[in-house]
Amino acid sequence: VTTTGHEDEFRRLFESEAETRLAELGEQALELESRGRDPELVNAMFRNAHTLKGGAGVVGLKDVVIVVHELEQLIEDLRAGSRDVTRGLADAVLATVDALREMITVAVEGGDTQGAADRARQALAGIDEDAPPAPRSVVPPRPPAPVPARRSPPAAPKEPRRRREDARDAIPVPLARLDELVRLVGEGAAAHLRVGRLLTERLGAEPAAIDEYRDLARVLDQLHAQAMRARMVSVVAVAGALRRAVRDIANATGKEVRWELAGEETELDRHVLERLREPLVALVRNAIDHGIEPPEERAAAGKDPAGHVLVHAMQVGSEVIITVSDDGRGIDTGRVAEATGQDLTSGEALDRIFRPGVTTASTVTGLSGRGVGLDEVRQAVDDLRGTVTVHTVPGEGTEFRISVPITLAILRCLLVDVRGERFAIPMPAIVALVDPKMAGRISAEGRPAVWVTGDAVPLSDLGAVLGIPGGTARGPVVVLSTPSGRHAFDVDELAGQRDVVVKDLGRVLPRIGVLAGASIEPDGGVLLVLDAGGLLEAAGTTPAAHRNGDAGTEIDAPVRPALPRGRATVLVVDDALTIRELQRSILERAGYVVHTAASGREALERLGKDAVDLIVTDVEMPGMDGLELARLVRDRADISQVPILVLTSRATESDRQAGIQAGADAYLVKSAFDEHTLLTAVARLLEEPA
Amino acid sequence: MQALLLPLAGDWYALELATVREVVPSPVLRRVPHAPAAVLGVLNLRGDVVPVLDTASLLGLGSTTRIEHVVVVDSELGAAGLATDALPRRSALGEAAGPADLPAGHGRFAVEDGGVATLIDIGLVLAAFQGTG
Repeated sequence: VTTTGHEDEFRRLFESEAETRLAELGEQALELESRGRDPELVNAMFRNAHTLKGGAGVVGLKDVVIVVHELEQLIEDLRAGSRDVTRGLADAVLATVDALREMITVAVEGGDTQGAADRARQALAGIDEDAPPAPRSVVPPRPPAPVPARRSPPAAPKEPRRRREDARDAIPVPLARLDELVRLVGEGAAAHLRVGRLLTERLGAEPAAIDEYRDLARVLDQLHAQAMRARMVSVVAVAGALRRAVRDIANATGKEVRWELAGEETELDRHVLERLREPLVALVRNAIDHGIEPPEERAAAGKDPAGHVLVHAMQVGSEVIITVSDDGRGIDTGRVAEATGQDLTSGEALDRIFRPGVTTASTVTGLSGRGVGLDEVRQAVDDLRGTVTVHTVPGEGTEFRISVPITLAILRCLLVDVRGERFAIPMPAIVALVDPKMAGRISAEGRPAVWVTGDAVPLSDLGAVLGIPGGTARGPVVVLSTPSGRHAFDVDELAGQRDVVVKDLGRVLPRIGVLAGASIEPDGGVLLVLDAGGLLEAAGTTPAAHRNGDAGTEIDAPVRPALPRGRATVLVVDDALTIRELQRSILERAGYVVHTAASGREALERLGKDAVDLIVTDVEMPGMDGLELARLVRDRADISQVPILVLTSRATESDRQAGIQAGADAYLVKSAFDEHTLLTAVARLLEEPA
Repeated sequence: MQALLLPLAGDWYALELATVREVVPSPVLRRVPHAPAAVLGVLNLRGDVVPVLDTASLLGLGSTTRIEHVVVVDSELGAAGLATDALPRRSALGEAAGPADLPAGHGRFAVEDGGVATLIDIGLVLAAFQGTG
């Protein structure tokens, strides 16, 4: 490693530290508007600027040092009381922060920072024009009387800075190093399995019976979990950008907006969150620009003149769901249909807003040149193997829901064998495994198909689609779903499910559509991971890819539990629309009749009117919480026997106890929640009524 | 210049030693569906997935019939494996022995045992591969 390499690494570390400092400075500038010249706030800003200046000096970014120094002067003036907080001042700090961010990125790459530096200086020089108090060049410095003595003196920023670092207890680490760590852990696990095989082959020992071998397996598992966890960041990391977007667009459109971020502690892979930043900003802008009405229009409609925009993040199983909702006018699907010149149902129209070039007054894909459009939002989410959907109620508001896997590095896969070769298919793309004997093979439009829940889904032989020589598969059928439709594939065998660490295939090979990546098997072999979208495309262009086989084998690994015998009625209670709708869709697909309620009170009303066989309720709800609901249900003679399943983000034993005491029959933790767990719990409770 | 001599159909082809990462004996290859014809498969190089290319086919010399060793080289695009049908060996390149016929060749050089080797530019070889792929 050369000296240049080290310098480079230091600069990258500085870049990452600067990112944090600048994000905080941006946040703090926004807070200036509400908190004024709060000494605590101003001191915190000063520390951030000072640390930034020191860091820039160490890595030799002189231009950055000069600009930060000017910013520091400005903050010093605020602290000294020689300058007041104005919107112009906050704007100037924000503009400087933006310019510094650009300067640092450019400088680390070795580029020219002059343009960004000029913009920063202009912004800082421009404040004086609209700042009511006289600029510092005119007013002689006053003694720093307004600063309370309990705060640290301006000349000693070192001590508080260190304390702050300790409080955070964090250091920036290059992502590549974490990736290497994850890779090495994977290598360790593979070596562990090889040792197990050696024990069996050479010594005739059963590894699972050896305590030390099992201990090592456990430690490696934990190490792997921790290494993966180190890549996670919380949604807070994009809070600043969202807040900025709200402020900028509300100012630009003259709308009043109440902004709220919930579930910001939700963690996901840094790569994933970074790639969601722009789409989320776009959705927030869209909500204010096109959803929220002007104050007078809202008042006339009997609404609060200030619109409400809520970004809500939550972990559900191995997915993170982020919703962006507003209480604005909703999307006028009629106008979308009009703009496309086609006769569309409202569902079709809502789908169209994600396509390029659909523009109406209420949904604009290009967003007047600001940031990315809805088509790009969908593209970005697709790239992350996620989904984005929209629900809208005219006059009441719109909710966009993004659902993405927590990490792209690990993917739950179904392993299948095809003509002697093994492949992994990502589970999220699989909608069903069908026993062809039961489903029945048919022919539609000259191509083989198979019945799947009432639809004739086209069927291809996976081996033929992949171009592997050999006979036609006679095994189970795997049904995949992608945005472009559903397609079924014949395979020879199902070989189980596994979490797969997916690597890309590198740049030497051209992009291969049917492959999402590759992974290393415990035995050192290479496992290829298939891409559902690419497979569908390939199947569509592989004529006669399949010849009808006549029989299939029994499927021993069904993805979904069997349908319940009767059509039981389930009442889902949750204040979060997303969770409610998610549970509704899971339960309805499994054949249950589903009612929903948004609060404990609404649930009780519902229980008075309809017969309900099971209640699934959230705990944390405003007003009456889930535990109180459970207590009230147990106290009412007519419904006291209805089983209650409690779903919560709290996971401690005392929470569990509280739930059982309140009368809950079973407890599910949201982070461990998935389709299978929910359906299993529901089925069990319905078969054994309390 | 130090070079790794790569045997193909009885002739030597030379790679600049600095570009060679390692030589993998009797590699286990995984076939890749839908890959270009010159891709023999991928192999696991201590956790990295490396594509293995048919060197003879890339150089326009027919196709590699036996894969005895894979020479892993570093290129601007990442690691790539070159299949050979016999054991590669290290040698210094001696006197220039005329220009090469191959488009990716940088001339012929005398090597230690009295033979001649054609120096190939791995960047050009991969660029040509990507152009056809």
